[in-house]
Amino acid sequence: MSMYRALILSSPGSRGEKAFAYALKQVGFDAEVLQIDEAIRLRLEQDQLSLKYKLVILPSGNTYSSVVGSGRVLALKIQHALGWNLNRFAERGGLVMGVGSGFESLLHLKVFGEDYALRLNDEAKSQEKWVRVIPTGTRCVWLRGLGTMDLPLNEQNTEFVIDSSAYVEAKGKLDRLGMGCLRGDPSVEPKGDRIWGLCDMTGRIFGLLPHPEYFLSWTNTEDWYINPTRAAAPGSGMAIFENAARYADT
Amino acid sequence: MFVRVETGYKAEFVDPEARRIHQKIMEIHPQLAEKIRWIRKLKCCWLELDGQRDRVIQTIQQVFKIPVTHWLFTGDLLPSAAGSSGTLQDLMQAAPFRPGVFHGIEKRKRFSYHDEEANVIKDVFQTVLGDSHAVKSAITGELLLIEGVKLTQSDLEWISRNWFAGDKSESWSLISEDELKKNARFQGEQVSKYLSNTPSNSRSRLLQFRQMEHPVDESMNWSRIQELFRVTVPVYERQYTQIEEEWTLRPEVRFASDALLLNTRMEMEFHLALQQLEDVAEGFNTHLQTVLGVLPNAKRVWLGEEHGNHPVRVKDEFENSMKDVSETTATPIVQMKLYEDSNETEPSYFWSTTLGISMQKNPSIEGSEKADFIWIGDRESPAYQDLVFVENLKSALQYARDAKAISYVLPCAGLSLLEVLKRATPLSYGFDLFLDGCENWFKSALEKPMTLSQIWGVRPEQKAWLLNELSLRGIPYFHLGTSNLNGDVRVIHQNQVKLQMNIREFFKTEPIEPEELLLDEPIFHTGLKGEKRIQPLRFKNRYAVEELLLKPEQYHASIASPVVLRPDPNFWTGLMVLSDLCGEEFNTVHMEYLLRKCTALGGQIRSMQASMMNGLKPWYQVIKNVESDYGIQLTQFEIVARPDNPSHWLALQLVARLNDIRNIRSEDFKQANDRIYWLPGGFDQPATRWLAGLEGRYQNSLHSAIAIEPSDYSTGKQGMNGVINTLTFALMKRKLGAELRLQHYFPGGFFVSVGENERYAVEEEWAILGIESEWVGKVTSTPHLVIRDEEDRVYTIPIEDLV
Repeated sequence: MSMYRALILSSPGSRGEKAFAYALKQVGFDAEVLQIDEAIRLRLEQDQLSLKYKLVILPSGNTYSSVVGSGRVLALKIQHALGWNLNRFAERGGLVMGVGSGFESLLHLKVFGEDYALRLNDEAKSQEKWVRVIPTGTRCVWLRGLGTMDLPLNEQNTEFVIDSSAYVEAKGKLDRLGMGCLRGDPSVEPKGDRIWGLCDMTGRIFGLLPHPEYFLSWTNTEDWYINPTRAAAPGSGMAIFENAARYADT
Repeated sequence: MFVRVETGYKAEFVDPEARRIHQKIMEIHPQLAEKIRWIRKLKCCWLELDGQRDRVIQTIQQVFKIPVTHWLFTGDLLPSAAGSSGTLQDLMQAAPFRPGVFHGIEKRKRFSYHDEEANVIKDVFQTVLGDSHAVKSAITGELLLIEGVKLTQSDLEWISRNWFAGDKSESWSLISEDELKKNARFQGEQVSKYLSNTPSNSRSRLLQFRQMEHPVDESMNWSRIQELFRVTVPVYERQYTQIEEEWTLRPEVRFASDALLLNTRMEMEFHLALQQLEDVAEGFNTHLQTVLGVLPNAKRVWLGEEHGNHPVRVKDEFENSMKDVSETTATPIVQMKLYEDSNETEPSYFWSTTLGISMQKNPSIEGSEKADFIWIGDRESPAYQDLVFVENLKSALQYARDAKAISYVLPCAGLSLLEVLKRATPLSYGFDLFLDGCENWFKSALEKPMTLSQIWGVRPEQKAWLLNELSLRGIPYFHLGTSNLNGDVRVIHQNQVKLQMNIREFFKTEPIEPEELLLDEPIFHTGLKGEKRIQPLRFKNRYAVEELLLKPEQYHASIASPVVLRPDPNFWTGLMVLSDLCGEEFNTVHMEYLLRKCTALGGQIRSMQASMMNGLKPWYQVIKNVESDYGIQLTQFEIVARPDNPSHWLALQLVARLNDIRNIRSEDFKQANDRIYWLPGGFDQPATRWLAGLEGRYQNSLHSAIAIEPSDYSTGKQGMNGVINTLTFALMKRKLGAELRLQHYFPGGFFVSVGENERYAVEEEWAILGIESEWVGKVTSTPHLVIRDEEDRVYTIPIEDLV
């Protein structure tokens, strides 16, 4: 079991830090929650980040009240105040996960390229539901060996969009390189295989819209009491974090 | 540099937030929603940035530009940031009906309100630019872009009021299609207008007020101001003497609104009462003496706002809340029912406190230290008539006092600024006036009377907090000056001392004789021809004293106004009579009636306090002669002249002594078969002394005593009707009747009722004391008045017909 350190970078309005910390602790990480302004005050720059931490989590939430776009202020602070380059961090073996607005921050940081973004879908209603997702390809180290799973979606109904001016090229890049690593189940979803998560070229930076941190045991599901014997079993989200621990050990 | 930034979804995407607004409108107002054919929402930001242009442009791109999903509009700053032209026209192209009729509604956070988004944007700019002073100021807002041919201005206003802008925290304005298409709104001058301290186009009272400040008129006539400052202001010295060292009673009757019933629970009004006491007796120790509650009969409680509540429940709640106040403050409480008047349509819940002042002076008077003083109020008359505004001002004052943020308050209503300053004792050590930003106001207010406004002495350490509170409540204010201890009066304008003089020269006054403030005849007769007549207060809530004081030009009380008993644990009783005599004569006859009314309640009148506004000379004569005519000392006398206010009022308070407050008599006949007597009412008569408890011992046997109204004893038929009126009102309260023998006219005096068993003792005492009396009749249980006249003719009239 690894005892690598994991950084959960919280910011005003972010949520789920404790769930992440719990999950990472369960799989053997030494998780630390650090506020972005505290990180700036401590001058936690790129080199120290690589030295101290093996894993960085950008949690979801209405960070900075979604001023100038969801996750954007966090991205600007990471870029300008901390001076992090997460692609370089991943190249050195670091793991990064962004969920919800953390995923948006990764998109604003352009770790997956410039042509991708998230937008509110047409209803723009906040809703809680479960989505069935299928890991595709072998590039993403977070999803290795995982099959179809249900994950909770716990925020505004956002959807992944590709820049229309470079659509063909950008879409081809995702398919060709296996970056669109988490897709919807076409048999369940009316919109077909929409993209729910992306990974970068190294497969170590993983951004996704559903929340694996809210499915750590079967008691997180709505109908666990129908089959109480499964209550103690770990949820699908835990499998994603176990993958991260396994990769860190290697 | 000043920058305006707008961001919105690209034309190819649906705008979900705008769509939600449309759905909401559809639910509430489908006809209007149908007129909207296309709708978009953009986020706006107004920025004042410091730095090089190129660097600023680069930063704006980094912060605001989301190239995949959003367009960024910045006028000519980033021409290629959106679509083909970089203007809103790119977005308008997406509208299904083209060319279409477009409208814009723009909202922005009010300057004084907390704008969290602007704070985040400032933070981000500072992060990106690495300069903590990069953003001088920022405001955020939104722009709603609507297309619809049939939309009218009122439709757009409805949308913005109900669904788009929060009226308290945001201001909004409508933008025409031409303005939307042009880039003029991005120009520096336009942007800077919103970022300054005085935003325009706002409907709040505060901003309306600020909008009235026109560009600075440089032609300030300093020599004239200096001349005015040197003028010796005539000051009318209030007559004030003290007959009892440990006791004085102030004519402070407040809290007359029907909502008060609920407010008593919150004790807010109660605190206000204590504060008013401190106002009146500035510099003296004060304490609360009694709490008085007056509740009208159940029938009246049934009406008004409490309609639907069971009268008993309303009464219980009232009594409980009074007890709460009493227990909290360990103050004695007296509850009474006094009035029943079928003419009134509003319930008259009423409670008051008797406020005592001990004459021991506080060791130090606050206000002499250096403090900012701030003018607060409104210069336009609508505020004067707006009770909501008055309530706001009152609650703000209370809040500030609770926080000990202010050290003194100078009321300005009805006075010119010069008069206020020259009477201001807290400023007597010297002060500086700052005229920057209020030049026009200063020029007008210096000599002309101001409307409802105050000057507050604010402690410097709490000034920022207090100003924020005022802004939140929409109360206009500005910083007028600073008090200091240097012994000089200085007027400072544009950082220059324009005027300076010694404080002794400034505060020089000359006394004015009271007669100079009095009028020969009522303004009612000389002016106001063709204008709306003043409404008599008797048709309104008769306890609305506060309303009367605030809006004297609209209401006036009548001679039949209430007598309110205000007892005290030390067997002292204040009797307050409030009377307004607009258009009516006030003479010795009326004065006697008022005195008689107090005597009927059982008080021995010892002293009187009076105040009058726009008083007439005959009134003054009557009040001045009270001491010589009746032996009643006038302890306080105040005259206010307000020529601009076409009304008159007179408030009298009689301070009386009562041996036992349980013996208070009320003006109604109590039970059937009581005998009714007439007693003469002159103040030289032994009957009056007996009724007041100075002589005799059987006064307690009286069931009631009623003063006969002044019109009753005039000669002729009218006098007979007056007597009947007095008896009718005394009978109708308990739905009783009477058999009367009225064989001559009664020259004033009292009607008293005595039980059949007690009458022998009472009649014997009257005979011993030489009290003249006459048996008039007896009370009956049927509600009819049976009158036998001098020719033994009998008239039977139902009481209801008389009413």
